[in-house]
Amino acid sequence: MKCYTVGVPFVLLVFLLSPLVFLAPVAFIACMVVGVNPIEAARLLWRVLTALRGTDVEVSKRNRTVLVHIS
Amino acid sequence: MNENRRKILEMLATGKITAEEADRLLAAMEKTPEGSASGNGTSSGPARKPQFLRVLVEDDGWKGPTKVNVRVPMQLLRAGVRLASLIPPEARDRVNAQLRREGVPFDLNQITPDNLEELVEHLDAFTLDIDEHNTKVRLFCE
Repeated sequence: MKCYTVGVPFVLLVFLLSPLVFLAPVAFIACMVVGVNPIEAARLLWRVLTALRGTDVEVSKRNRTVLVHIS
Repeated sequence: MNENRRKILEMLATGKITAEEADRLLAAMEKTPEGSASGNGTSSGPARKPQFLRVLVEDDGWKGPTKVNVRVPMQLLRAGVRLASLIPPEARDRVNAQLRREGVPFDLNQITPDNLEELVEHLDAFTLDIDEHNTKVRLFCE
């Protein structure tokens, strides 16, 4: 059985998602429109992102296994 | 060294209990979860909290066996449920109305950070096993 392990460092994840910062003004306006505190929203989203550390997803099909680990 | 273990060994050393009694006490202490075994009647701390939510799926479909093993940190679950607080008030009312219509009398407005924390805390005893035809799903905390 072939096993592929992909270790995703948290820093890389943040780096990959960093272009989303350009959408921050749009998100800010959307938050103001629907009456949500944008700072609280950003804080919670950051919390979700940091909480991703330690996540493992392993999928085995026939003789292939792929393991993705966020470290 | 654990405080209780020390006490038992001291009692053995001073001859208050026999070696067999000490052995029984040590064995009983090991079986008792930490936090409820302190000698002075007060708990020394909560039992070990689960760190991960595990989802195991095994499927023996016609395309061949497939296994999925997902391990999600409980912190992610906590952070995720806190996102519920971001639901705008109007949307909450609509969700509540829809839930009531479906026969689920659940009020999203009553969700507070404390309640959410309590909900996640109680997940440690939660286990879900689904065994249907060729598919097995198991969900538990570890």
